[in-house]
Amino acid sequence: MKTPREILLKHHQSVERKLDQMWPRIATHPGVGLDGRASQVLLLLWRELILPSRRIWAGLACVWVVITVLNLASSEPTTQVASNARPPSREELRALVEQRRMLAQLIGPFPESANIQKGTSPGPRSERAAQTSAA
Amino acid sequence: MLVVPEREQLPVAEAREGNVEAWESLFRRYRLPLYVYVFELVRDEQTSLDLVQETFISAFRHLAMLRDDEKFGSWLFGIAHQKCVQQWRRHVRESELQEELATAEVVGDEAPDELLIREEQEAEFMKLLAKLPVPQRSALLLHFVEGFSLEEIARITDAQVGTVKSRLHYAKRALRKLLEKQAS
Repeated sequence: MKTPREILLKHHQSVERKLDQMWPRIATHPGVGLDGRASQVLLLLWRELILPSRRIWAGLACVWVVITVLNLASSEPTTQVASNARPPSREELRALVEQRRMLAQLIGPFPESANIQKGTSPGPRSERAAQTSAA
Repeated sequence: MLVVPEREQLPVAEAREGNVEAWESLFRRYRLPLYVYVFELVRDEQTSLDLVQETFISAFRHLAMLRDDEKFGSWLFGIAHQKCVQQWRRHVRESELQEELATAEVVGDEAPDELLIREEQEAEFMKLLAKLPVPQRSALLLHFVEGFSLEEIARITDAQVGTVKSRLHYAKRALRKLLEKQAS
């Protein structure tokens, strides 16, 4: 009398030689630990670093996803801003020209670029005194 | 009485460290039981040899991901089972995979491991095993060859424990019928 296990193993015993021949192919297969030390190191890192605290990593990943989504949702694309800006109308341009004319009448004509530069970098006190006396 | 090797100390940790002898030891321990399981499911020698080789390569490649070293056996058979499923999907009609079994909870267990088969019944036993539906055959083989528990078989075959119990019950009943018929 035999157990099913004994019968099954005995029935297939003849294939053991072929199975033994398989070992060198497995051991030298690329990616298997015996050859692929680099992948083993990665797997070891995975096991030691990621797996023990996988919930924390997953939580962090979720937080980052939420931050990214919120960031994308709140920021308006620059193209949209550019397209929203309409060109000034004729009336607006006319009003601007009129405003500049009135300003020129009040404070007198001034060469724009020169004045702006002077305004930004005033000269020494002695030069300023000469200018006021000349005026 | 089911004669299955006890849950021996397997050199899984050493294999993970890259110890060649440990790897070979694991290969030698499981090569034949794994082949028996795969062959009895796919019924083709060359395909079975290929699947066993693929299973070991896959297992050794992903050994670092195994968290519980004591579950190496069921984990390995789980990989083999998945390889068989992929093989069926490629070559066998999907309908053959469908189980037409009542999944009602089976009350009482006749312990299939108590089966003892006479020498003149061996050939019949193998024939009957081949005739069983794949899910029943798979559960029975896992139970016979490695003595896996219901929970382990459920994990390997990706099924509910109740379903596995039911499969074992029907498979065992079919076996008993045959053996009784032979005896009479």
